[in-house]
Amino acid sequence: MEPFEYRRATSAAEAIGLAADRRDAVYLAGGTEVVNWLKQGIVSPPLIIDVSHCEFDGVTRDNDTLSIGGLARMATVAAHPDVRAAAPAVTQALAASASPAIRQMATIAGNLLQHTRCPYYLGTRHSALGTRPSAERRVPSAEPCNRREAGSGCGAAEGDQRGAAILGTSAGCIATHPSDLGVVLALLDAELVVLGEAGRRVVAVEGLHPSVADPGVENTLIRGELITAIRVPLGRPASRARYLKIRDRASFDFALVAAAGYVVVEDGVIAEARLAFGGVAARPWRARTAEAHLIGRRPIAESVARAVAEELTGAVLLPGNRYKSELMVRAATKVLLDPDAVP
Amino acid sequence: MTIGTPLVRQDAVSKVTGVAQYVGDRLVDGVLEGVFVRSTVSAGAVAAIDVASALAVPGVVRIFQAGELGVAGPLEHWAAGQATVPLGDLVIRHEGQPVALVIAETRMAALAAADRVRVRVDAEPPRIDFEALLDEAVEIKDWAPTNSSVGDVAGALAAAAVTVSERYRTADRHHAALEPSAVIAEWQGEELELWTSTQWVFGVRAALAQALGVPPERIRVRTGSVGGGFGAKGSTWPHEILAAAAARVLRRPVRIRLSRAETFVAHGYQPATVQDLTLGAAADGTLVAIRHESVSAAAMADDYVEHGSLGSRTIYRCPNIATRDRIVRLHRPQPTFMRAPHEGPGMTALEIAMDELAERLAIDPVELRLRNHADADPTSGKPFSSKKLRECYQLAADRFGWHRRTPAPGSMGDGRCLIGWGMASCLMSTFRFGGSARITIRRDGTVRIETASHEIGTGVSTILPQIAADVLGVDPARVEVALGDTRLAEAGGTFGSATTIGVGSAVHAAATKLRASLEALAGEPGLEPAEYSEVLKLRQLDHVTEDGSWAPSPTESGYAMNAYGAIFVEVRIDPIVRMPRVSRCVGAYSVGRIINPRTARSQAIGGIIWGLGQALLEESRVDPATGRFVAKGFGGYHVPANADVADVEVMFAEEFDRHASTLGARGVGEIGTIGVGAAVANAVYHATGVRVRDVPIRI
Repeated sequence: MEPFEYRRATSAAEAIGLAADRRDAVYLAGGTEVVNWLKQGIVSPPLIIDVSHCEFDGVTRDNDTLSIGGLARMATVAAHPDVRAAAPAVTQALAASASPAIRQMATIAGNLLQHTRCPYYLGTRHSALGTRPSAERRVPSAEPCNRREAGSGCGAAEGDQRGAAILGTSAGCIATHPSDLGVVLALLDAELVVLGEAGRRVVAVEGLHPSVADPGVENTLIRGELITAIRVPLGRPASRARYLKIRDRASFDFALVAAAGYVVVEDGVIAEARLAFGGVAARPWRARTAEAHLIGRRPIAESVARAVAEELTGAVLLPGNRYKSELMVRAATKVLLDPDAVP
Repeated sequence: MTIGTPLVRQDAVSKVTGVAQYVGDRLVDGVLEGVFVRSTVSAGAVAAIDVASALAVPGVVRIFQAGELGVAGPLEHWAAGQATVPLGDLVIRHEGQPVALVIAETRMAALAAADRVRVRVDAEPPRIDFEALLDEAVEIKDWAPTNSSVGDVAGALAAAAVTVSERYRTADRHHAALEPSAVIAEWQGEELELWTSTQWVFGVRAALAQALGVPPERIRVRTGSVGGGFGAKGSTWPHEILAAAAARVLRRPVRIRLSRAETFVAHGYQPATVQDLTLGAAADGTLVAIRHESVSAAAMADDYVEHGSLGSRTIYRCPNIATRDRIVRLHRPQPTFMRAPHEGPGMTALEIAMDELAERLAIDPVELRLRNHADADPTSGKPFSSKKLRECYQLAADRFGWHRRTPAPGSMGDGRCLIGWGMASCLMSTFRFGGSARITIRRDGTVRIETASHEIGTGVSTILPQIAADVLGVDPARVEVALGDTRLAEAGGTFGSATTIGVGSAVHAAATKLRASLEALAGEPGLEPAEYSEVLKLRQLDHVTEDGSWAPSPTESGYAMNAYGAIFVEVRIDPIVRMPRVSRCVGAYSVGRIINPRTARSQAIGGIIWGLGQALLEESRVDPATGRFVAKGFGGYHVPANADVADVEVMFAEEFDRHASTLGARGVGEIGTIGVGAAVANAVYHATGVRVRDVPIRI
């Protein structure tokens, strides 16, 4: 870890002001992600701006919108009565995230801004390197990773692919986005309120990440911007949706595949459907093709399998992650057809 | 009588309140910090190392390269984890091999400098793919026989009514101890004091003496609390040798604390195995033949054999048994013993095969094992020292409710989930090492035990006072214990589930002598413990000290000794999601006399959880391009979390093994890990009809 300057902001405006002329600054909120980056040598910023004492951390509900402050802690949001009542999948996704200790510290905005856990991105430090010099102020990594270091290659492409993406991949990157919450927010058409030097703007959660994995673009925020709030539309989708996470370990593990969704059945056929996946792409993956394909079908496993197969048109299945297509079918079937049994 | 009572761990409060001192916590004036630069390449040679910018980092003292530390080799003592001298030459044999050692005034400076060392490597294509190179498996000479043969396996198989012949696989697994290893080396003239997180202080001393060319009596090795070892801290590894060597050159104390990532390359792991097993049985289930061929992944230059076939030589009555254990040499770090070595991977294969045989014969899995129960070791012919395996089957099956099992796959369920019940036999060879202990009673009636054993979290510091208190008839709270120091009475390593047997018996011997001395001083037999202080006062003695020791006696080599058990598990599987989750485990064990039911129970439960890791989670996958272990932390290498562990119950058979040790005890530390992988795989089959022969289980 390299020495850095630490500044504490007490308001979003102050934080943005501190960052304004410092393009190399990094915001610190819960610290459960940025401190990992520091230790891994993924970032080594000269300036860290601590925003954890700012006050955009409340949860409020008005008629048809749930508004969650960007600094709200994951545990707080998961336990919030309005969230539990009106958007239970948000609670499910948060409860399935990380560990209780991390959920006490980590913030909602930080959760969406996580970096991939691709092992080639995390890398190995303190290593003999020889050929590849490191970017300045970054710890050299032994592993090739275009996301970590442009042009260094993708270690996962020919390497360990168990966690790698199958949708929205590019030649340069098959990383997955690790957020559970993001999958539910994408499903519910949630929006982000973003504050920056240029003022306030609203971004769809689905627009936070590039549609196709771009190792050069972690997210679409403009440098210096802060996510101050997340707005979740309430109503039938929010009340009906459920979230299921499939993972090796029963807690404290990232999704192999996760699914969020619901169907409304009328006259024996699906009249309304929403479906999104996690663990399959470099962003939360809203499965609009599958959604369209489900309409008018009978609510049976075969319909779901076919809809997921449609969604997977164009998917790049590698030997090490091919199994994810099967897990997508299982997860979608469970969440859509047996929602009451989703824990 | 304090033996047999569930005393609470002496170190419990200090551990949960953070007071316990580990080696890395020690404050040493003027200590320098060492950080390794390690090879990311699996094969090749170091061509050049550029240290210019690293040396420019403020606080950097020295950067050692190959051949600069005066370590003699090969490291032939068996306490050394590897024979190859670390930083001994420029050849790169595996990823993670140290290629330079940066020494600086602070750890931050050493880390920053290590990041700036530039190593140019002439890389060669590494040998990586274990399974593709199985044809190149070799049999090497090892501490235990690598093969066995009784009877005529081929002939018996030809005549067998039923055969099962399949290939089974276990994964590379890391020890994942919570405390990353740390070492502090300090020389005073020609004398070395070395603090290190180790399971064997005398082993480190012996290995260092050879590596450094220093008489062992000039080396004092000490350890603090050890935050889990599981075998990774059982041998002496490069960081320990090089810290001592660097401190000698620099004439200042040197500390090396391994990072979490380094623990995946620096002190071994349990190597992957591929096991081919053939069972032949008569129609009534009687085994007529066992052939077990196990191959484990190994390093290029160093020897470690995972004896996967060991259990198959002993567990069942069978007239024809042939086994062999071989290795495939690969460009990977040296593997080592890991809880539970040999039978841990080996019994997984055998006990899945037994389940397959039971199914083929339509015989209940427990009944099949009872029909093949061995009353003497089928390979050596020796009688068993003591064996309560039949009782274990009975105890665990009854507790589990096994008689309610319906045999057809998929036939049990609760309406929501498929339910599967599976079981396995457990067996682990008993290791016995000699030990010695000193015991002192002071005039105030307090007692002190001194022995160079170790508290690695197993309860040693609780049961040793318990044993002494039992002999002396005093309150165990009045007995303190000093461990982990080569100035104390010599003891074997705290591994191989052997500490109660060896060190426990030595403490028993010392305490027995002390009681006799006190009675002699009193001049009368039948001295009451309350009168000990009076005797010392009367004789004007501050204290009375006695030494005791224990060693396995040659006459008992006529017995086959093992720990035994039976493990039953229930899995629940959502029929749509199909991810197996273990909901219930019941284990019963035959391990001799139980000294402390609480710590023994903890060891058995911890063992079962360890086995659940093998069954469902733990695998260190290897990058197919570079040969590197992909995961270098707990984010990628998964051990069970609380949520993976449901209801675990353990029981022990009533037993006193008079051949195994004075105390009647055998070892309890590792048996719980054995058989779990197979029992879970068998339960998954019972739930789903999917036969899994590889762990971790993926369906």
